[in-house]
Amino acid sequence: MTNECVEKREQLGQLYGSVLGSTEVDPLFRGFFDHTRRNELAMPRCGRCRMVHWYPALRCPHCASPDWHWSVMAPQATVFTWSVLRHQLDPLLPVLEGHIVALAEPLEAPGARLVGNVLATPSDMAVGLDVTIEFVEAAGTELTLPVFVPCAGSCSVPGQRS
Amino acid sequence: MRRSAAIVGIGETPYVRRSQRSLTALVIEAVEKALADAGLAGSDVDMIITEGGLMPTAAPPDEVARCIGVTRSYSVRTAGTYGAGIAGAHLAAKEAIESRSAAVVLSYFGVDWGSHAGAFHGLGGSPGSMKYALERPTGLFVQPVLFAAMANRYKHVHGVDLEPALGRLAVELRAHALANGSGQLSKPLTFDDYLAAPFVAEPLRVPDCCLLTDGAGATVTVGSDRARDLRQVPVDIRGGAFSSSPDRMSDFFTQSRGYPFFESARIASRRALELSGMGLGEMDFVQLYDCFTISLLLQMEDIGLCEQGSAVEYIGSGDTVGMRNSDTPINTHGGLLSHAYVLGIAHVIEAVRQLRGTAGTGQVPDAVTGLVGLLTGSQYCAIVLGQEAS
Repeated sequence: MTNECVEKREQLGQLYGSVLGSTEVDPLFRGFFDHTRRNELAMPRCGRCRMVHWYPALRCPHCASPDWHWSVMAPQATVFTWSVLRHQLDPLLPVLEGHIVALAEPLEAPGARLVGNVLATPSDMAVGLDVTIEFVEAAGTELTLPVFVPCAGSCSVPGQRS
Repeated sequence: MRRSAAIVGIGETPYVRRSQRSLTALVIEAVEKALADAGLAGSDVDMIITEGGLMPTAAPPDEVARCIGVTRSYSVRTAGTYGAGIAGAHLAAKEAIESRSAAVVLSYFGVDWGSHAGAFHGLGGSPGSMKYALERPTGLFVQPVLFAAMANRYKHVHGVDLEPALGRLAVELRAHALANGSGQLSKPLTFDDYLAAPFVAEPLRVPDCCLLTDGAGATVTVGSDRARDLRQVPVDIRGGAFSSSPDRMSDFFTQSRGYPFFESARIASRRALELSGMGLGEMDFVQLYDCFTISLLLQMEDIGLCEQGSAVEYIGSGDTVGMRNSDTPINTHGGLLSHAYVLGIAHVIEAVRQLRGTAGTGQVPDAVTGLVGLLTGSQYCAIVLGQEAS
């Protein structure tokens, strides 16, 4: 991992921490963050119809069953769409250089779109780009967020892929 | 014979960035003007139907009723949220009049988001939801970024460059707004100006995004029998339909199953036309929810002005958009992009003016019928308005 990548992850961690502060996560979504803290991506899988849904809901949107559990997914995904932030709109969120945000479809959860920043340069970005899902801790909080690293890129953390 | 409903009064405040006035004061001004326009009094009102997301707390019907001299028992309804709720209020007014649940329906909507900018982000979601815990820290949270991502997806799906089409829409709507004259902006926009404007979130630039506005508008709807005795040319609410796709509102801009299309716009607009017994080709104009140039472009396809994937060609083909001698002029007052961001109440009022023939230099010649289609994420409501059938 290059110094630049270390810095970028550090920067995002600080940013996440300042936005999230003391955010109290709704019980419905807490399982997601229990897994990200262990560097795992988990999504709700229904015990009845076996389908994955996203975001979490009180009942499975496919079969209305309340019986779903957090299921760990392989940390591979494909960019579904993306944008580069250029102007500060959210008073809590300053815009960084090369501030890319994407929706990525996990390999094992087609149709679900996970949101995350991308550790890449804007010129690398394209729909369909293969990415690895990694994790960045929001500084000073209990929350860890997924980030996307292009598979061909140089920002991945050795040993973080499960 | 079935009774039909007609809009007989319209009223608006000036549209400005900062009004220095409370939202309720803005709403009451618009309501008083609409009643005066109709030649009716507050004491004639027996039903208030308003947008259901903001108005019940921001400008509550009971407060409005108290200030405009409603003297007897009246009923209150709300109909959908934000833009779809504004069109929805007019659909509900039609239904209430036709079923004889009401004789005089007052509808209104106002915002003070010009004074309170910065509050604006995707719809719904509690502070502990994924919207705040996961989306907000990444930046895919505020509306321009969510729509920028939709634009990039569209570019990929259809393999097109959006820049010429989005720029063209921004330029055309500015020309409409200047012809209208009652909007917030007075400076023309050229395509070169568009290209020189800074990005907000790629590929959207400043002129791709709606304005921020303080302002309010109101309408009065009565039965067509009564409308004939009033002072204005009645504008019939011919038909309308409301549709919501089965997506949770707070998830809509990241997880909608039709992404990046507005499934509910397709369904509601077709159903509204069907119920009106008319085709889109018969509309003399359409007023669509143009919160961003890209959302307007998507709706042009969704409602069927052009095939899916062909909007860039349609917009670029010369006289189709904007020119008032084209088949279907769009957003004749300049829309949310260049007139005022009041979420669609000005779209309804402009449609009424066009059909009265009082739209001034922005008048579409011989306009007889028009469609208003307003969007709120998963919700869409389309209404067809027309001159009274003779």
